[in-house]
Amino acid sequence: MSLSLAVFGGLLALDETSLGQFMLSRPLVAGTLAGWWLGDPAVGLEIGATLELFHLARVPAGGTRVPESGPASVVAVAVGVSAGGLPGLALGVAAGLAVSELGGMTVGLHRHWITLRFDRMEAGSMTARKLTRAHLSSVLLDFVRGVVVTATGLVVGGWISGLFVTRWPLSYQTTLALVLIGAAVHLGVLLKGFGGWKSRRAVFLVGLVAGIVGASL
Amino acid sequence: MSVVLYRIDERLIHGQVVMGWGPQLSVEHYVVVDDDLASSEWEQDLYRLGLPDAASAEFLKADAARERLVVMEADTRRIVVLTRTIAAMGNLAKDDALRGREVNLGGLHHAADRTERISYVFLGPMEEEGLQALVEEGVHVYARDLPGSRAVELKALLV
Amino acid sequence: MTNGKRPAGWIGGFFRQFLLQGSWNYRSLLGSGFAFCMIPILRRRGLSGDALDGAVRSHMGTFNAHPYLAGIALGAVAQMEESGTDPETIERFKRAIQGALGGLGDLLIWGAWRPTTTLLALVLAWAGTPPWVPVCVFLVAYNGGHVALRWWGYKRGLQYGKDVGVRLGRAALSRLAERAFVAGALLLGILAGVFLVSHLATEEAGGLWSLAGVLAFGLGLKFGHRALRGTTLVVVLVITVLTVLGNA
Repeated sequence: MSLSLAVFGGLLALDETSLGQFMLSRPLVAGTLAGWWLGDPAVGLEIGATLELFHLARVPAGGTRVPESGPASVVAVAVGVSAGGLPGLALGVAAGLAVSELGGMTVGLHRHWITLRFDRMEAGSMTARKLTRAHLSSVLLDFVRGVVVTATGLVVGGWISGLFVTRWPLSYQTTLALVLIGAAVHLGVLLKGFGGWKSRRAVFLVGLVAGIVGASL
Repeated sequence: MSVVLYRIDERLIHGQVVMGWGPQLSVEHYVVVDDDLASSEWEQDLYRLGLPDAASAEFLKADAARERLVVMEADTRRIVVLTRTIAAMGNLAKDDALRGREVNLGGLHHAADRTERISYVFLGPMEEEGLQALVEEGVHVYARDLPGSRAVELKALLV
Repeated sequence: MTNGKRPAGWIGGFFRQFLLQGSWNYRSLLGSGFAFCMIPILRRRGLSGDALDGAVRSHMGTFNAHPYLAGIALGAVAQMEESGTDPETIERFKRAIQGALGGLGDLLIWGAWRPTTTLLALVLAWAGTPPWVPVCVFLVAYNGGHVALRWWGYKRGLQYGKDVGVRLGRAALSRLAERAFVAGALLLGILAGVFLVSHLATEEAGGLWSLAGVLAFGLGLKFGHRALRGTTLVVVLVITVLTVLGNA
């Protein structure tokens, strides 16, 4: 089970930059798919949608490093499903956030490795065949990187959450409220990205009222 | 409100500048100082494609830019001055024209005989010399690609 | 400029676009990927051996763009190759257009389209639809725009070559972004309202939780991207500390 999940994480890592970018690697999608894989799509969606809130406002402008969501979402959902019930959400989200930062760092390492590789090939001796080989092997390495990140996350995350699973002190509602307060910072950043309070407040407030009314009904 | 940022960036008008610095500094106008571009309409069109709707840009030759510096500093708009090379910024800073001001290193990428100092700044002997010249003109030089990232002082870039 | 005839190998170039970022590196950024995408087009022009290798090398210069819009440059360069434009002009073209393709893509896709389609799916998810609904809505809506944009950009590039800049209709693209921003702000409001009522105000100390949520939102609104990494760190820390101090 773990191995196939790790391979799945590797495929999602590819989607992130190297191949396609169909956004299968977004927490909302990757989390739900991982939930399906583990037999609990509802928990997958819950954790995926929560993690998504922490990735929404990130923009990889000009090649700046951003956290990696694909493998992290797989780990988050696996931890959440195995912890189950009350602690699942908290431990899953924490694991997902931690792995996405670490995953982002390995993306940086991967890029440095490619840089070194191209440096070593003399520019004057580059051929179509060498370029094709270097390019495709970089993609393959990215896949391997995703598998390793996912597998490491699954093993370490599973072990840590196993140690602490009985210790989570808060109720489900309080846990969710806590996580949503963190997410609220991201939503604020997103509104700034949409044009800021001054230019968007009218439409935002209309939505807010609609949301409040809709949720109260 | 005058010039709010002097920046050396090989890519000139691009995402980091218009999406990163633009909103942060409420930039209204970009002045690109580059002899080649000042006389090439089709290239200017391509660079202008990257501007947000509310912002404008002009392309000046180095000499014209030097003459305009005082006017730009008194302009009511918030202006960013961009050059592709250290030499072009050095030319602008000559004779104390930028004394006491800051110059931002935003992107100097890989080229023959340059080495990596930080991920977005590659320097060779010629670039180092140019940066020293800027310092001698009383300019404070630092590297920072985006407003949210850490500023790196020139000292840390010279090895 | 428009000669109507598409360069041979253009379909291969289109599909290779999806692999454009495969060798992203700090030297040439997307330069190596760009040259990789050009190979089928160069081959179909009858180049092989040393001539092909030389042509590949000439396309490896530093290049960066939003991946979905890079096809505009790719198509234009393919067209310029076909019409015998000199390498220096091609290089200057790539250098001049890359900033716009990066900035426009960041604005339109990363800034507007992706968050807005995601918010739509999130509102559905929090409204309690079955899991497959938000996932499918997001994937279909987002990728409908994504693939259409790649196709449109590549075709424009092939059609107009060096003049693609004035033919792009930048105004239309930024109107599109503006609309997505408005829709996004509306959806964001709805989501915030649902969170307030269903998840923050339901606690015994609901008023306090809601206040904390509003303050956190204001913090993000004020400080923008600088607030993001810190928030992640705080959430992970709080969960860790609570767990460790929790019921032994």
